[in-house]
Amino acid sequence: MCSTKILLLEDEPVIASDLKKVLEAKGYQVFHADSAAKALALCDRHLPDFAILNFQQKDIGDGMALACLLRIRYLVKILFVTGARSKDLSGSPDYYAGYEVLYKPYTRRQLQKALSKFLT
Amino acid sequence: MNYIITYLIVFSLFLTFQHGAEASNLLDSLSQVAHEKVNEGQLDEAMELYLQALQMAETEGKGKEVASIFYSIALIHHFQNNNEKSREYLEKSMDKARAIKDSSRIARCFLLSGVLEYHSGDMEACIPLFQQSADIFRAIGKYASAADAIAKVGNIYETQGRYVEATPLFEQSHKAASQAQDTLKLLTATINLSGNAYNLHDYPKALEYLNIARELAVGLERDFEYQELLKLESYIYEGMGELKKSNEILWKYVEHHDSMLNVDRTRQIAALETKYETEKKEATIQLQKKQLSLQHSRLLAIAVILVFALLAGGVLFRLTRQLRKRNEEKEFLIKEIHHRVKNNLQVLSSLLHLQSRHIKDESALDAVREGQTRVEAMSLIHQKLYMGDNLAAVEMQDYLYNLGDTLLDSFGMDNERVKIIYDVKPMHLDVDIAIPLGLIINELVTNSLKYAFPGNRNGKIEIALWKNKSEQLCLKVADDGVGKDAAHTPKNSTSFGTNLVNILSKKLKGKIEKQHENGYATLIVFEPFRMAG
Repeated sequence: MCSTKILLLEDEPVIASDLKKVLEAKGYQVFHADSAAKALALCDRHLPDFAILNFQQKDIGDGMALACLLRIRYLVKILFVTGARSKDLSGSPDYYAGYEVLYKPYTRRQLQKALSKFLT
Repeated sequence: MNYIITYLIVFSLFLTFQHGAEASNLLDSLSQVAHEKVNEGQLDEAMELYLQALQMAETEGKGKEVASIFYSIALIHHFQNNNEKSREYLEKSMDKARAIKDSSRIARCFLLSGVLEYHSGDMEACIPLFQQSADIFRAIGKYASAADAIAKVGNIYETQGRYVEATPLFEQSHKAASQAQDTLKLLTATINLSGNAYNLHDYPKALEYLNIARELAVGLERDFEYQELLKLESYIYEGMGELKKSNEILWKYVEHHDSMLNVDRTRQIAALETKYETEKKEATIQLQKKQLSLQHSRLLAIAVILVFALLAGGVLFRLTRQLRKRNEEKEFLIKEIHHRVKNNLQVLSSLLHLQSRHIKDESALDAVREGQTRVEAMSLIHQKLYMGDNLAAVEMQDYLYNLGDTLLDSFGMDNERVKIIYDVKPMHLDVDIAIPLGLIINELVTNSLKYAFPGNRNGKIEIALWKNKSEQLCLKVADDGVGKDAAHTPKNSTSFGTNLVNILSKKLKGKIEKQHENGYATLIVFEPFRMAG
């Protein structure tokens, strides 16, 4: 399998399966994880090119630490999917600086736009 | 000052008496004031007044007053040790008195002449003057004055050691005093007699007079005379050789003398001290009271202010802390809820998309897709939601642009074929209004997209949102498509969309108007409502 691999971390199964369907329709190989530990295990095994991370997972809280780890260790490009806007979060004025972000709830159009920008 | 006041009094008196009133009254008043001035020791002023009075008396030809005033002036000169002048005026007075036969005045003049001679040291000259004076006084029945005059002669003899010659004079003085029924003069005369008897070494007689004198002194409460009598008694006993008794009485005298002095002095000092102390104390008390009350009020004010400041500070601190904490909690909760709403909407959207993948029936798929756009219309609201002061508000311009684009996209239309023209005034609407409004627009635009442009027809849709003059929110969605009659409209689907518009308009108290010229247009005018932000 030489198609592009995408790690999908999303603890909400409905959203996850929808996203998986969308991505698979585009020809990507998708690995779904519903926890950070699983995500790391999947990364170890499959070495994905991209990661779509739900920013506020129940088990990891702020997904920024995981994002950093994935980016440094596996050289993965990250897309955050989040229900929180940058200014709602603590820290710097633009918390997601350097990352692609897709805000929930997204429309189909916004999803397509974000993915086409992200997966290049 | 006194000078001025005196003149004012005199002047006013003058004014009072100058018209019609008898001039003698004014003269009397002048003399009276002058006399008072003499008593007060203001001799110069008195002199001025007397000279004025003199002028008046002379012009009016009042001889008696003239003589009296001359006498008074002579007296003032005598007081001022100007004996030459005094003699001059005395002679004038004497002349005048003789001219009008004023015996009393003549006697007085003799007496004063005697006094003048006495003071100049000419005893031989003064004795006949006093005697003449006494004779005249006695002749006109002024025994008290006569007693004085005779006693003066006696006193002169006494000082000269001519005790035998003095005796009849003192006796005459005593007689005159008793004739005048003047007890004080009688006392003086008796003391003189006693002293004279002592000088003559006639001790029993001296004692006899002394006892009478003592009774008089006690009766008159004359402490000074009583004391002098004690001294005299002591001398008498000494003369009699009764030294012990003399000493005893001398001690009595000394005691009396001291006690008088002490009583006097102590009384005076005490009175002064009391007065001084009282005044001082009162002043101090007043001052202290003032200071105390000032301090008191100042302290009280400071204390009250401090307490208030502390209380206010404490309350403010607690309040702000509570408020901040509560605000933080509230913000956190709101964020959390928003997060969940957003997540749920996302789940809903994803569900519909997942579902649509398994639907083969075209009309069912349409229905689900419509559902998807409706959810997306709401999702967009939540993306654009921004927190105002206490209302969650949506910026409508930005929202409608996004909604339009999303709808075009979901119908697979690009901006080339169907163009959406926005005429949206910048405004923020409450989320409660924004969501139904968004859904209404979603339905109307969806309708246009579905039915107005069949067969790759080009066209445009206009979305207009504004407020009219009566603050009513107006929405217009219009297309330049084929119009209602030409549109191929499957019953079931449009009826639901239209229904939804009706229901939501009703919720927002809107009145729907439909226009069928040049395509299809819907105008909704909503009742005025609260604007957010």
